[in-house]
Amino acid sequence: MKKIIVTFILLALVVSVVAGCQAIDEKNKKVDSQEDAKETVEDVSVNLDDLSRDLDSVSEDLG
Amino acid sequence: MHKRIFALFVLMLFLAPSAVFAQESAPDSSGGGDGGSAPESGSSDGGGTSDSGSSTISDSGSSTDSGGTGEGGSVPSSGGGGEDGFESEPRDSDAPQPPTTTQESFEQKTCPKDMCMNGEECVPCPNFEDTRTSCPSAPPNKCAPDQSVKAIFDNNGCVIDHECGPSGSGRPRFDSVPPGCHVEKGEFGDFVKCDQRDDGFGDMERRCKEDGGKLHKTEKGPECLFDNRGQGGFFGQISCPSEENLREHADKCVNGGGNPEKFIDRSGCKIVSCVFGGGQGNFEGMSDDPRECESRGGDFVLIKGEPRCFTGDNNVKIKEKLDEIEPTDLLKIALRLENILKSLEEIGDSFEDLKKFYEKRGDTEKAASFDRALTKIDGAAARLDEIKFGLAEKVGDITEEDRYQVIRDIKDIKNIMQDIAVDILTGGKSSRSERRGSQPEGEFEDEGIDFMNAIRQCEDYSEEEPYSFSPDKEVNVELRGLRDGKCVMAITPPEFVGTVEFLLPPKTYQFFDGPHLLLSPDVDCSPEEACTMMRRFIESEDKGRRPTERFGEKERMEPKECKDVGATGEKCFDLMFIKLGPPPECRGLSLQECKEKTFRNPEERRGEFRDDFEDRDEFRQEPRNEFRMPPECEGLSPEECKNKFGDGEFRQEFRQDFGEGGFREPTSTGEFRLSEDFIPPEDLRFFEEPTQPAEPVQEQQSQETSTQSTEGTA
Repeated sequence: MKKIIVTFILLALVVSVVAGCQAIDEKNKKVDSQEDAKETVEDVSVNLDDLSRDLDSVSEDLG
Repeated sequence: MHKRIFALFVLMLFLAPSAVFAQESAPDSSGGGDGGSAPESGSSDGGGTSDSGSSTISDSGSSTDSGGTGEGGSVPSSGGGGEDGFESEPRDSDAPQPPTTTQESFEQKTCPKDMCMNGEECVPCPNFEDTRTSCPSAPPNKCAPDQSVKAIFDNNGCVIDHECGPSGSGRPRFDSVPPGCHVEKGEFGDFVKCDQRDDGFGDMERRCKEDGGKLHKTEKGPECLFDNRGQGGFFGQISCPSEENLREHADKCVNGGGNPEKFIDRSGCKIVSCVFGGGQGNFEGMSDDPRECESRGGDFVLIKGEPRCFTGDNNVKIKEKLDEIEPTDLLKIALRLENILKSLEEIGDSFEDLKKFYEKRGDTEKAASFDRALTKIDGAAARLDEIKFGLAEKVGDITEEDRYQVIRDIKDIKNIMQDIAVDILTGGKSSRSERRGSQPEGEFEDEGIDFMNAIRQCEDYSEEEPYSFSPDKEVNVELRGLRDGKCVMAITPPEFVGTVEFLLPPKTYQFFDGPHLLLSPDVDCSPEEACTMMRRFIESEDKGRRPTERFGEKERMEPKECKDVGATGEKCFDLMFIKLGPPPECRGLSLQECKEKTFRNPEERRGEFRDDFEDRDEFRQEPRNEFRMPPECEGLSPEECKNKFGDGEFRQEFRQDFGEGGFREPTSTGEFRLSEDFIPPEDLRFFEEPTQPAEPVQEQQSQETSTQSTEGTA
């Protein structure tokens, strides 16, 4: 029974590590192709637009 | 028991990866930072915030209460003008709608000719001619907030109705290009351009010009701005319009059928802005009409099928009377800025990836465009970071002047972001850059103002194609683009062979509002002897003596966290670096590199300042910021220095540096010695017979390090 438990602990650890690595890899995703570049630029522009509206509301609140 | 343990581990097995994924896939910018996020924290992601811009339109919205009628009339109104109209508070969109014209086949209620909609009622139109378009006012948008909206156009390109999408469809998708407009495929986004046609502003522009104003297409619609042009020049003292001028501008605005409002401009002067027709016209409530976007000076872009209008307005207008603000609100704003900063950091990372990608492919032009974007975003983030620290630390005693400065800089940051977005969507070939770069010199109405705008876009110029202008006789100023991420400004002063070169970091040139900032310690200058002369010249011209230190700079260099533990200067820097990570302008640098950048040549900087400021009144008024170790302590630590002067010698030095009369006599070593007839001022006499000798030493220590930190700011 102990062996089973240890096995499961190890399994759980391995799965967590793999999942964590994948998530980190996803976060550190680099631009590798023109398609990636296009998508990144689109996402960044949308973010910039949204952020600038946030700033608009900040300056409204300050005034 | 074993079964339970077994079940528990099976559960763990399934939950562990999902927990990791959940953490990693959380919205990027919603993280509340160290202190968690405030309820109001502005998320940068969700589309919910994206429409907030439109909700602010009514804030400086205008109304016209003149009672005249007649669509084509330009006769001055008899009612509602003059002083009363000028002083009245801005009102929400209770302004009469622009007159309806030829289009009669509407489903909505329309008014007879010469009558305007005001709510549900028809009222006489104000006596100005709204010739913006030949379209009638658009019918109201009756779609629910969570529905997409599609505009229906008639053959003339006028909006006649709206089609609502299914609930929950969110941001409107754009799938019908109005007549007269076409889509230009860009590398990263599709731009919708409309043919040049009479947008109806011609008459307004002519009238505005006749009155001495200038028509601007702003985010909130067209307006006639009686700004501060031609006042004081570039180097000269700012001369704001007098109350009489303001009244005159307001009268002209009212006589022309507009609604005047007073604002504070970039220089801190009161100016009059004249708004015609409520500023919205046919496009009110529309978010997917490219012509409406163009009328606001914006670029209409389709990103993933969704329309976005990117606008940017170089003219800064701030409400004349600021509302009361609670300290807690300031703290909440600081938290929101923290969230925005996190998002900006991620955006900067993306730019770096893009830059590397294009460098690898050998596309240097595109790599350079992303490098420019990165410089801009880091400069904006650095300034925003300072503002955040300033708001958080000066929360109890923030002045109105501080608030004007913060609002102005935040508006600038917003414009920078919009500019960057357009720039990268066009692959670095933004039409805005072209507009700025190709403007013939002769067309500038006021070189000083245009120069201020130009320097904020310094990256558009280069050594080969500089921007140059002559603010005064025999003085020539050139912008030569970026060098190592800093803007190169070359000034040829009168009676000087060669040029004086100033290197301005992004957080300075992007927010440049006058030559006084050339005196800022984070601006490099060469050659040295010419710099001294140049600085004196700037000082002598800048009679207003605007401070070179901007809101939040000091607080950012030595925040409360440092004060709490008694860390100053580089120690404070180390602490903050470890706690918060590198500041925005140190992207990709190690702690040591960042430190070198921030605390570069402190001795040299001090020498410059000593030489330059020896005649300045402020030097005497603010001795604490300029106090430094006596020359006898060169190479010694503050503690060793303290011991050296433990017998009271130090206190004598202290008096020398702080005394009024002794400041004008620098010695050969550059230190200031006491003059023969020096008499300590009344408030410093207590230093002669100190009861607790250790205290001044302690103070000296902290002053020394504090000076280092502020002087060495990069």
